[in-house]
Amino acid sequence: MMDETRPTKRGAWPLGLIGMLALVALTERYISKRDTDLGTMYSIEWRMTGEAVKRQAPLAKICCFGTSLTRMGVAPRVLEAELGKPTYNFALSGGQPFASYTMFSHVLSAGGKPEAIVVEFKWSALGVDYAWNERVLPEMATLGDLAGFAFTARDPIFFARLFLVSKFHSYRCREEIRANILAAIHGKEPKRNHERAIMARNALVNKGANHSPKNDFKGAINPDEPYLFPKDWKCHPISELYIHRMFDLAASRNIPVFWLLPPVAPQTLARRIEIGAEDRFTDFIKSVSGKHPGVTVVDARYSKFAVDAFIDTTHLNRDGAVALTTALAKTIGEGLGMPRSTTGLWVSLPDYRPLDASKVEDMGQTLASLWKEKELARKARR
Amino acid sequence: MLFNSLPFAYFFLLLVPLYWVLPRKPQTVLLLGAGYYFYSCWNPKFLALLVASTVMDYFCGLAVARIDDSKKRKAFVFLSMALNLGMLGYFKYVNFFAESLQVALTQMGMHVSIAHLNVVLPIGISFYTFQSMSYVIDVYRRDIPPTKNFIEFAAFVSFFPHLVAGPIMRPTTLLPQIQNKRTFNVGQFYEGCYLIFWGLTKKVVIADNLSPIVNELFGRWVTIDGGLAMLAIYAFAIQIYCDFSGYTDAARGIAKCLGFELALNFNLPYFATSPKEFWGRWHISLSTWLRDYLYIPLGGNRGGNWFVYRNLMLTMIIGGLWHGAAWTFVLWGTYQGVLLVGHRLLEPYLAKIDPVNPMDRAFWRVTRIVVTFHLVCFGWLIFASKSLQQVGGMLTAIVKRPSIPEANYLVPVLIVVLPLFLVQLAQYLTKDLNIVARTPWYVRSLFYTACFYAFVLGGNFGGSKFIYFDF
Repeated sequence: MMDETRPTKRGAWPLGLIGMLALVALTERYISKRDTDLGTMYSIEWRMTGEAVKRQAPLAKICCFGTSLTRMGVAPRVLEAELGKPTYNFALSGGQPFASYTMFSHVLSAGGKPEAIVVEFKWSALGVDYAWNERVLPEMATLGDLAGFAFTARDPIFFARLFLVSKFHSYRCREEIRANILAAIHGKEPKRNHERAIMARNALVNKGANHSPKNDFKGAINPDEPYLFPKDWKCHPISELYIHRMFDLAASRNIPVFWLLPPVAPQTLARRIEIGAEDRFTDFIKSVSGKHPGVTVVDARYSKFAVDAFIDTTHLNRDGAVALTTALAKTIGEGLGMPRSTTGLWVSLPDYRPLDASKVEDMGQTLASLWKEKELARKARR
Repeated sequence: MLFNSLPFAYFFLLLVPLYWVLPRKPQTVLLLGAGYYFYSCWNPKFLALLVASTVMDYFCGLAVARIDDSKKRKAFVFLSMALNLGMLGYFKYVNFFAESLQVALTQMGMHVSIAHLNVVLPIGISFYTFQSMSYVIDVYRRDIPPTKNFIEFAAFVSFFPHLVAGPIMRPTTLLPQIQNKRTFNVGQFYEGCYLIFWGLTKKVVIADNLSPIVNELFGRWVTIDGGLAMLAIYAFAIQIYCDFSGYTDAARGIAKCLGFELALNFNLPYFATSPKEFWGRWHISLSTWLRDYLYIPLGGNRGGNWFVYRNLMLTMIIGGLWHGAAWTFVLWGTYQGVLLVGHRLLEPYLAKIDPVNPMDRAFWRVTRIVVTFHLVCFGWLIFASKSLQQVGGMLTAIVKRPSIPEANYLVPVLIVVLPLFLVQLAQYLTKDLNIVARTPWYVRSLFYTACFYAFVLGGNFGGSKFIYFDF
């Protein structure tokens, strides 16, 4: 039989544990230095956007917040050209209202004095649980922000998870590390490396936005897709709370808000109208914006964007983004000239009109220029 | 509230400092409150059952100690047993017996409809009823004096580290620990932390990663080939071991952090060289409970061989039924009984094979370990199967469709099992379960770090519950 009772020699200090803590600290430090390689497209995008705040916030007069719909659909270069005001796109793919609120508050605390902000909240991000962004939140939010979020949600378990994600890089990147280990076992290079480089470079060129080239999307939908066609959509109360907080914060600084409702592909819109999803979303927007006089709703949903302006059911390509942003710029320009008390408006954007989009670099062009640079560097090495 | 969950981490992190700053009496009250809170996290309604069992056995214990009349004393023991076994029977077995009766009557041509009761099994009922009942029996046997302090007795029954899945602690060992003063010991606390860590690693990294493979393969029993059927059984053997021993390691570790010592429940069971030795290494607290409160009262080793075989069979069948209300568990218990009886019959012949040469001895030992492991694995096939047809189907696959398991199943199983095997082999060869604690500090540091990253990177954080919570 085994002996479990034999006494173990133990010194005054638990050296095994101390050694482990030191090794874990070293490993975490190593991972934190390399977590750009280990992160996902989203995590790197969120971190880049978070890091851009300090540099861009003091300069930007128009700031955009929202989800991938804004990140891909609103072109700061176009807004700058139309309005003559420095613009930056701080939208985060999949971002929920807490993320947009946090970005906005970081912009203000970094010395930002925007003259207007563009916000957008995608219905799918509003309908899901507030913990949806758990993995990526620590990329841009401080531990204090996260503690405040968990306190607002009255969820200490959520805070514990956020704390772990925030402080342990290995835990934060566990899925990516696992994928990388599996890829290494199979002798493959992780596929995401060049995609991350394209995204990062394109965002740099486009002042935070990412624009996609045209693809062969024909508008087909999967009617059973639950996130596109929710049968019983409702905004999560915590998300709604943060929308109000964001609008209150803007009002406290006298900053006009333009709440953008971007278009979706025609078949998707038709189906959403058919099942009443758009009406439910509209009711929600009216109920929220009605409480904030400084908010102008900019509705592009019914502006008849053609299917070739999209790369999928919801995201615009470069042509679509340029068209949407041009129309949005007009509304902002008109809105900025108005006294604040009259800005509680609902503006429907005009019908879609393709424009020259050549001034905006899409990710296809970014890929080409990256290849070109790589080739030049290779030749120079020779 | 599962040990492998963040709510438990909060609960424990709040409890431990508060517990150690309190003097003994409030400490015991806190322990009782923690136990009731922990239990009510599953379903507050079932707390009433725990309290009922506690109150009844507390008074039965007092009555048994005070009364001299042996008939009246026995009556109180029966009262306690009736209450505890009645609760257990109602919540765990009523539908099983009703359904079995209906099937039997139908087979006899009598069509009677017996209502299926909508009964939910209260978590841990099999464990705390056994523990509470054994207190009254021990007082009856005059092994221990009854406790007059109800809070202490209630804290003993509801002691949360082992409340829902054991180890089943004897009143003779746990009750004095509750009654005596507990002092904070850094060494004990450190050992406790290590046990929690190691237990949760076994659960979250090994058991929970094997679980989807086992479920998938057992679910495909109709079409499965022999190699995968074998792999499913092996994987289940490791899964149930890591799940249950992981729980008891964590339970023992938590108890240590609170200044208590719980009984060792697993002692490298898959290194057993015989079925008898297996039951001395697997779920030791249940084996010894069944031995002391069932096998010995039935007559134990007294009487002729046939009486001993009968006692063994009855004990193991009841032990099988304790695990769950299904015929597969009865069959599993019967099978274990047959193994023990068979081993008893063969023992004189096996003893004659006693190689002198060290190599021959080692080979003979390894052979016995491998054979015993496979006998146990056959038992796990019965245990894990939902029906007898599934047992037959898996066996047919092994016999008629032998194959080498596909790499996409085999590799993940090996990745999680091999490190455990190496640790256990070191423990077995050194005859030292604490071998890790006795290695130099830098080896320990590396081992802990490897476990930590296995936990973080390889852990399945789905918060799956422990298999033995269903028993």
